[in-house]
Formats: sequence, structure tokens, C-alpha cells
Amino acid sequence: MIGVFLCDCGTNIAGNTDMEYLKEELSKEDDLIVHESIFLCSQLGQDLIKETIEKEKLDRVVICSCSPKHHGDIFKECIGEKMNPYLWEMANIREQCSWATENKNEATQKALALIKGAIEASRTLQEIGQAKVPVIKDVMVIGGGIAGMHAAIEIADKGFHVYLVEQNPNIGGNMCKLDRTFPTDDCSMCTISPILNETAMHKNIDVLTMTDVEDVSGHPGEYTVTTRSRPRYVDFTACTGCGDCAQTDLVMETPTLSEPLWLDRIKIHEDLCNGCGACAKLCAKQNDPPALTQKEKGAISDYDTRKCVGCWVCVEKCPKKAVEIINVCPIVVPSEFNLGLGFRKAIYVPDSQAVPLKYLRDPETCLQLNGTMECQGCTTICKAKAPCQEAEEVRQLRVGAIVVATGYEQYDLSGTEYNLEHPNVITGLELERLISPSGPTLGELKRPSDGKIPQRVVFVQCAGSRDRRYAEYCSKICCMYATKNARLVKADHPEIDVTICYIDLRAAGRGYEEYYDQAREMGIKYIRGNVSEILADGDELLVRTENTLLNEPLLLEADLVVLSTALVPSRGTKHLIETIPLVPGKDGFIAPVHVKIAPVDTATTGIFIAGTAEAPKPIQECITDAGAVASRIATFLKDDQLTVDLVTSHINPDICIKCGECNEICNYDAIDTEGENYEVVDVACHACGMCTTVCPTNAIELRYYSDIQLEKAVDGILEKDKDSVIAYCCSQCGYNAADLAGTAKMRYSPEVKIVRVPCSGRVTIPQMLYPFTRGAKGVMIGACLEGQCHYIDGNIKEKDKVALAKQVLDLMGIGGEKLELFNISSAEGAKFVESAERMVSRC
Amino acid sequence: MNPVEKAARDSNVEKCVQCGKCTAGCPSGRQSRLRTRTLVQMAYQGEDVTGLPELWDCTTCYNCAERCPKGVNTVDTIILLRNLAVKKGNFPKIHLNAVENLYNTGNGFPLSPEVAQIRAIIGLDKEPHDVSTAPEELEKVKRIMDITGFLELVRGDRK
Repeated sequence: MIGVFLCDCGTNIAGNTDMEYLKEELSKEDDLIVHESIFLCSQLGQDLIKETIEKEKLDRVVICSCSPKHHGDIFKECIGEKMNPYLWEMANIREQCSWATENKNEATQKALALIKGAIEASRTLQEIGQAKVPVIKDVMVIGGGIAGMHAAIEIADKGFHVYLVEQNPNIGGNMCKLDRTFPTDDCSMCTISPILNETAMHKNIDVLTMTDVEDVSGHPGEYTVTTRSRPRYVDFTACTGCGDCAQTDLVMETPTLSEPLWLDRIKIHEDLCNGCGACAKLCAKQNDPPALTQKEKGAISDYDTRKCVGCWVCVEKCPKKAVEIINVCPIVVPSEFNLGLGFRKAIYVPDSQAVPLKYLRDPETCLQLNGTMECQGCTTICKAKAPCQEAEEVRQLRVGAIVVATGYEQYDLSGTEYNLEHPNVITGLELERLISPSGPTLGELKRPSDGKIPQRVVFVQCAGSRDRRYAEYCSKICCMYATKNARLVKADHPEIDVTICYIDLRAAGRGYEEYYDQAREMGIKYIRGNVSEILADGDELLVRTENTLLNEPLLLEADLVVLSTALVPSRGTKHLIETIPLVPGKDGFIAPVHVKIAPVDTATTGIFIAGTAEAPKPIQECITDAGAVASRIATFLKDDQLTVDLVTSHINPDICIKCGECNEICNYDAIDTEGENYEVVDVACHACGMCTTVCPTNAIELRYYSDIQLEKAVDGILEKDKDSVIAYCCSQCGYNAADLAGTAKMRYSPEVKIVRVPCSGRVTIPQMLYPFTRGAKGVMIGACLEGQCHYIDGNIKEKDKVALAKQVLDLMGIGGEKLELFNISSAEGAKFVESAERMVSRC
Repeated sequence: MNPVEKAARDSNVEKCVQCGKCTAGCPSGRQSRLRTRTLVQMAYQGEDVTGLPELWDCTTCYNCAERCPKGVNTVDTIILLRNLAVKKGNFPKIHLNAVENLYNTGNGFPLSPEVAQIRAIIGLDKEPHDVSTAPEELEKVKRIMDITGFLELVRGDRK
């Protein structure tokens, strides 16, 4: 007996579906027991399911309600109490039917077809067992900003060992660059410094700086992460961070370098030099060509720094001690840490307060490493003999869970109306460096073009945010950080005119409105108007805006313009979205599996997100995320073993011819070809089903989503409604996009009926053709975006198969256009609707 | 859907957040009463703006539409509103002169003595070669305008 349970979902389903008709139609079949509940997910509803299973000795259950992505787990657990938790099917008659269909009668007919498909599929289901998988108790945190560090500490404090991977030479991320933070005006470095040190010193944390993640493989509980660490060319253990190698006499007049410099390494003190010429002679003896030459006896030697290799013989041997080292390393380039403001040497630490305080050499600009000369400057001066030759280090680290905390970066507004090319148009983060006591101007606000203290500063809000051309979303923190920076400028220089041009002032948060009130009291002028363009008049700037409250176009004169640029996912975040892979939202940030109830979980079990890799947010929310992640990880790793359901592939040894095709296509090395028979390694198998599409003898089969299960689902649908376009949707993207469309009440033709598959790459050519033999009008496949397949390349492989199947359909006279693959991300509800309508219009 | 309905649907005025970027970058608004943002707000609130004289101050340079962060089709909407204004007989007299010149001479802004003088100085023909100097071509232009009833439309004579 099959129990069919219809859920009204209040009026969500019953409001647009004739439930009486469904009951009547379904009751015509002898082996079905049909029940209806107003809310099947409620305790009452669940009790009804459990009681019926017991009373009627059901051997299959079909739940007709919302999306399995929504309440699937609730029903699985409920049914699992009474029978094997895989002997049931779910018909999605809410997101993909009642919400997505305009006409009640059409919705009812579609629901009937979907339910019939689920009933027929349920008959094919087999019991599925479980396996225990060992859990590695180590954790990797990727990204050493405030979220990553805090997560690492919290996890390490719970007793787990943590690898903290950071691409930069120092940890701390963007927060290290901030001067002060809202709404307390605390010194950012003072706040973060203890956290930096705790992270670096923690006995359970290994910090891997200058390290990139190259690959992530494995499965929840047992991930292998391949990392590559770039060399520092300075021995990490030997370096004491004394800074002798990077000493300099350079004082910059303006905050920016106009070009890289090659400074003098030595200075000859004329008052001490007696013109003996010993320095030039020694230099010529040691070096060819020499850097020091004496024109005539008694003259001070001429010095050419571009020939000087830093042997320091002149300094050591000058009898009058007239030669002084002023730059051990002569090479000066803009500082990355200071966002191009200020400078650093070729041997440097990003910041004087960097953790770890270990120098590194930049192989691009270091004269020794880039082969310009046999430079010995730092190698001879370093008492610890730390500068060295080093190679990259590739590691394979095994961890049970991963935290992605790779953060944000600023939107690059080059080439726009904001005139970012002008030296006096800077970003908010650049201003932080200009007013930070550890910044290139030691905290003195000097504008980049000429180093003058600006008298008129204009802050431009929503530069790139809330803008369809750049970033459509609100970057959330800009109203507050611009207000904060405006307050700091005003507090230091009350004489400066400070103006903030804004669209809407968003000050929602503890103490924020009060903070904003104070800013107004301090005399900061707020103008409600977006900026249309920034014009330059030499060093001065003209900002076009409107005072929208006075209906008055304005041309504001400014000495310095600060753009509150949109926050976008960092390169590291984007890299991991592709490498792991993770599901991005429409905004490009990593999407949580549920924005409200699972905000730090990703769609991949065992991989979590914290901080601005998920969305723009203030520091306090990064800390909250990090704590939540640590808690989730402690729960996830608490046992020595994870229980996994064997929804994997398995091989029938009787018909397997050991051709190895399955092994060839498997992206997870999940086929064991060593033993007498080929076997699937259950813990490695991701159950994508791609192997089943290449087996010439059908010896390999998925335990769930089997060939016959999909075939019967199609049969059931078409039995009730031949006017159907069968949409095989991958459960990672296409299916979610359809759910999203339904949730947004986007309507599309009821002809489109979805059959869920694990991966688009699981759909075989016979499965594409089969619906046509049963009278379907068309077949569409909803796959992930290219490059974002959850199983690496299922959608790419599917593309080739679809091309072949189209040829077959042409030959059969049906027409290849009646089959199409669409790449749709899970965030693209509208694209699903558009694809569905396109398909219906051509079938 | 007629073109007016379509343009109204595509105007996106409901997406406007009144940021003021349009007015801020409006070259005409600096010299005139035109406040694009206010026009969009009035249209959004359902007010009849077809009688406003500033509707005709827009040069259709598209600065506002290109930079609008929300994709409001300001210029297309203004053109639509002008069409509606003309239908209601709200065509400003100053523009009527240009249109009548176009009908009579084939040029909305006929050659002035000053321009003719400049042409002579820089060695150009006294008159440019265009419809205004080709009577038979001018007849064709007139015919098009007659068939479409353009003059009656802008004069408000059409019933």
C-alpha cells in the first residue's frame, strides 16, 4: 500500500489547488490510501503520517507538499521513525505548482501529474542503508581577517586543531587598515592587536601566511585541501623583525610616490671625509664596476647607487667613519598595505604592527632576486642571517571541516563618472590609511596630489552601491564608516568643511542613530543627493549633486573627495566559489544555505562561511558569524564518526566488464579498481550519477535516482498530462531556481513539469529521448552555470550529450529544438521562468 | 499594447529612489526650471505633468538615463509625456515657430543673415545644399507632414 498525503499548507496550496478533486482522482486507484492535512509538517500532520504507516502497513509514502528543499528533512525524519527513510517520494506542489501557476484548474491538473509521477517513482525505491565515516578533528579556516581569526580562536579554544590560511604576509585583513571603528571610535589596531597575537600564539592554531588554496577534495568529515605557500625569501624563524634591513632616510612630501625609486644606500659626511680615497679604491677592488670613484686626490668620492651592491666595505674601512648607511635596500615602491599610498622597500613588512612581524622580500623588485645585480645589502647587514633562498611549499592538509572567511574588497570604480583617476579622489579605505597614525602620513590628513591639508572634504555615498550598473545591493556599512571618518576629520580639524552626499542615511544598529546625531552636532553637513559626476580643475575637484530637499542642482568645490565604494567579494572569495565549489548569490557573495535559519552554513556539508565573504557587514556581525561558525563546527565534529546515507552508486559484479569507463569519468576517485571486482568507495562517492551514464552494460547504478526511478517519474507525469515539457533539474541549481521562482510567485506554463536529478550530468541520452516516446512535447535540462557545477563538470559533459540527442531528435523527425539545456544558478528564478517559457513556446 | 502604454510600462518610474543623480548631472537643469527627479516623482504619484513647461527644457542628452542607478528611463519617459502633452494641445508656442519654419522652408532654424555672413567668410556656398534649397524635395517633406497631420497636431487643430 502507498500512503499519499496531501498538504493544504493553509491556503498556500489549497488556495490555488482543488484538493477535493485530487483526493477523488487519487482514491480511484486501489493501492493508494489518501489523506489530507492542513499543515502536514505540523506535529498533527506528522502523527497522521506515522499512524497511517503503522495502521495500514504502508510500504511506500508520497508526500505532496512544499519543496523537498524546504521540509524534506522533517518528513524524512518522521517517516524514518517507522520505516526505511528512503522509501518515500515528495511531490512539490507548492513552489513548483500552486505558487507558479496562474489558473487554479491548471494548477490542480499539474499537481495531479506531479503526484502521479511521485507515486510511480516511489514504487521503484529500494531500502538504503547507512555507513559510518571517520571524522578528522582538524579544521581549516581560510582567510585571516577579523572573522577568520575569531573563528579560528573560538574553534581552537574548543580543542580542535586549526590551520588558518592567509594569502597575505600578515593576518588581520582589512580591519588592520582601519584607523578607528564605529560606533565607539576605538582605535582599530588597539582592538585587533590582542586578537592578532592570540591567533599567532595559540597552541591549537597553525597560521599559514602567503598561502593560497589550490584545491579542495574529499567529503564532509574528510576533506583534503591543497595549499601553496609562496616563499618569503627571509627565514621565518631566524628573522627577529628588527627592521635593520629596511631602514631608510626617505621622507615623502606627498602621500603618493610618482614612480618607484632607487635611493642612495650610503651618505658620505663631507665634514668628516678627508678625501683619502680609500673607499673608492676598496670599492674598485671588490666590485666591477665600482660604485665609488675618486676624480682627483683629496676630493670626496662620487657615488652611483645603481652600481652599489651593498658590500659595505666603504662603511667598514673608512678611517674617518665618514660613510653612513642610509638605505640598506635602495628600492622603494608603493605600499600595497597602504593601498598604493606611502612606500615600502623590496624587503619589508606590510605594517610596523604586522603579525607575524617577519620580513619578506618581493621577488619582483628585490635586486638580488630579480637578477639585477649580486646585491648583498640585506644579507650582509642582517645579524640573524635571515634573508635566504626559498622555494614554494605545497601541502596537502586533511581536515574535517572548512570555514571560508575570505572577505571583501572595494569595487574598482576606475573609468566611471567618479573620476577615481584623479589623485585627490580616494576611497574610504584609502582615507583610513591617510588618517591612521601608522599610515604613510602618520595620521596627518594630507591630500595625495600635493600633500596639503584639504579645507573642503566631500564624502560620496553609494559610489557603486545600489546601482544597477555596478553593485545592485546596499553595502550596508558605508553610511556609518563615512560618518565615522567625517567625525574623525572634523574632530582633528574643526576648520575643515566636511560634507556627506547621500541617498538614504542608514543608521540601524546599536548606538548608530546617536552616533549620527552627534556627527550633525559636530557640524558635518549632510546633503541628500546622489553625485552625478566629479570634475577636476587642476588639483581641485567639482562635485555635481543635487540638494534634493531643496530641489537645487549643486556644484560643490572640494579639495579631497572620498568615495564610499561598494563592497564586492574579494578575489579569494571568488576563487573559492569556483575551487570548492560553493554557490554564489546573485550579488556574487557566497550564499548561505538558508539566509535566515542557516546563515553560516553553505550548501556543502562541512563547509561554513563567516564575515564579509557572505555579504557586506560591520565588524560586530563578523564576530557574531565567527562565533556561530565555531558552534556549528563543534556540533559537526563532536563524534568520531559521521553517519552518511548510502545514496551512492554501486556496481553489479555479475555484469561489470571492468572496462573502467566509470573510473574514467568519476571526479572523486570513488571507484576501487584494485580488488577482484570493481567497487564503489561509498565515502568518496558524491552520488552525482555521472558514472551511470557511461557504463556500457548498466552494471553501475545509483541507489537513489536510479534509471527506473526517473523513468517511472516521467511515466506517471505523462500518464496524467501529455501536454508536458519534462524538465530534468539538477538539485543544486536548476531545481532551486524553480523553487525561487515559485516563492516569488513568478508564473510560468503548467506544461513545464520538473523531475529532480542530482546533477544534470546524470541525465543520459536515453533519458532525454524517453519522454518523447511517451508523448511529451519537449524536454529541458536545468543545469548549474558553467564553471559552477557542484560535481565539477557534470553540466559541461551534459552539453555534449544534449548536442548528440538533438541530432537524434532531428533524425527522428521530432526536431532537436524540442530539447534544450539551460544554465541557471540557484539564485536565478527569473531565468528559470524565461527558459521554461522559451521551451514551451517552441514545443 | 499601444506604444504609449508600452513606454509607460518600461519607464521604471516606480523604481526611482529620488537620489537626485539625474538632476545633478542635467546640463539643461543648470540653466532652466527642469528638475528631472521631481518630474519622475510627480509621474510616480500619478500627477498630470503634461502641462508643465519644463517638460520641453530637456535636450534628450541622456546623461540622466545613462547614470540612473535604478534604470529609470527618464528621457524616453519625457518624450512620451511630450507626446501626451501635444495631444492635449500643450505644445509651447516657441517650438511651434520652429515646426512651422520646418514646414515652410525645410529647416527648423532657417539661415540667418549672421550665419550666411560667416559662411561667406570661410568660403562656403551662400546656402547649404539641403531641402531648403531644393524646392521639389521640400514638397516631399511637406507631403509627409501633410499626410501625418503633423502641423494640425502640434497646432492643436486636430479634432
